[in-house]
Amino acid sequence: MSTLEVKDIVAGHGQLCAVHGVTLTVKPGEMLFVLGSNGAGKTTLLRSIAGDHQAEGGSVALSGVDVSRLSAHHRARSGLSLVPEGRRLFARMTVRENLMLGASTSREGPWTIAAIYEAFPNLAKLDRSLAGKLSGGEQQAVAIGRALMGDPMAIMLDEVSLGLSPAAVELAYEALKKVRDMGLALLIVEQDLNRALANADDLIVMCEGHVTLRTKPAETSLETLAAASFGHEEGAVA
Amino acid sequence: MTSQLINAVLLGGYYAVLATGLAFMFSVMNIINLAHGAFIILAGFGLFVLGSDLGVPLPLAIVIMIGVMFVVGFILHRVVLSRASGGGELLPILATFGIAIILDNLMFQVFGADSKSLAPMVGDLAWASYELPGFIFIGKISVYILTAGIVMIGALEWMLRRTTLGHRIQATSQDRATASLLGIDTGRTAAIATGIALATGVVAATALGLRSAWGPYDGSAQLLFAFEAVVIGGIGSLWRVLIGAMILAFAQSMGAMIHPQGFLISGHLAFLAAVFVRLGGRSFSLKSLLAKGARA
Repeated sequence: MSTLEVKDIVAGHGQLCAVHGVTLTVKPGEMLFVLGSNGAGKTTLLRSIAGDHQAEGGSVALSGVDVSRLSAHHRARSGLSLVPEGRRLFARMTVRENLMLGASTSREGPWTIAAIYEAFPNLAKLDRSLAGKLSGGEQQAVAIGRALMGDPMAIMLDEVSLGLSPAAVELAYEALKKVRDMGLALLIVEQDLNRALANADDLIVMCEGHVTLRTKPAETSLETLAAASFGHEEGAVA
Repeated sequence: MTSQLINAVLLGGYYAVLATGLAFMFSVMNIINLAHGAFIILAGFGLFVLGSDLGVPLPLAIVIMIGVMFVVGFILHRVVLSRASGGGELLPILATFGIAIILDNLMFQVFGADSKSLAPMVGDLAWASYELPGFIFIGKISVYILTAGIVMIGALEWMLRRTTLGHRIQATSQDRATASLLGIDTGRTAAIATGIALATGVVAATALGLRSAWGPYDGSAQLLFAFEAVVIGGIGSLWRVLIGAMILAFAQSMGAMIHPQGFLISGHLAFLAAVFVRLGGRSFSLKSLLAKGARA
């Protein structure tokens, strides 16, 4: 059974429809990438799945349980986590306090502060530092750690590599691969097509709120992905 | 002169007690609760009914009323403030202003216009004093009120910085959407914060009732001093409220030394000076009035 099952999500901002019926599934231990240019509706899709944005239609199920009618904090407690764009850490709290807030889901699981510091060794020495003072890479590590502290079944990450150095992105993906190997479902929004090709199990490309391509890294190329993200339908190569 | 300075410090302690709940509400929820004074008076009547009519000892009555006002605050947020705060910064102000008017008149209906005091419930303590060197006497109650203010602010700061609840309140106040994504029930957290703010009003009501007497319409006078103390001190840490309250009390005491009627005027002048410094040419908004916005 799929961990995350999203059907026909329709979402918009006022008159503008940003997501026109997107369907996707993520299995345990799978990393699904959603690609697309700015304004493709990726962030709205993720926020709608998490319950942070009110979807106009469609359904979201976690391990077969429909959570479409639950509010954002109940979805988080059901095991669905979103690492938002820009990380959104609480800047004036310490790393430890940020991580502890992640445990607000009150779920059972393997993640503790010690386990997070084992997964991200560079965070251990920053334990008492204010989150706002960290580098982008360190903040991303805290944001991922904070999501893990809630012991989720599925984690969605928005714009993982945005604003990070290549080395920091590398570290973040190392950690995400370990998390995937533990059996979590990962749904990742990424602008960097090369990064997606190197790490994905499955790929979805969106343009103007529609899915224009569903594929796997072995069956596609950079050119095909780029073409799809500019709106060329499946099969038609620019 | 020494005596006046000491009395100004003690008066500042009283203003700090009045203002703590108001500052807590604004700094953690960005709501200016114009009914804060009316809720203090309501808590005062509650203490009076428990103490004078039912014969409950004052300390027990305070504990009971803290529980009652917490529940009142929780319900207030659930029923009124959670809806009002979705509509910009002006709507909660208007909503709490309306609540203040309703409460004032309800209390007039129920309790009449007579002044009430809690002083008879504490016997000798009402006029007991400490003697300091130099033939200076200071009221014991004033000292207790100052102590209560410091303890209350210290306890709230500790709660916000060191406890899970405090961190959840801060998270809810700084970034409600992200707090929800972490599994925090932000509506419930904000309602608890409102309950805590109103519970501090019980301490203020006790201070008011022991220092003097109050009537059903005295809420707005309490609110005015509390609001001035908050604006003078600014937002950021609740300790700033104590500083603001001290400055207000010093200004009033200095004014009274200059002219017998200078007490209120110079307090208001200190408030206006703080407003002009804060705004400093910027356009008016609650955020710039209270400076720096979100708490640390």
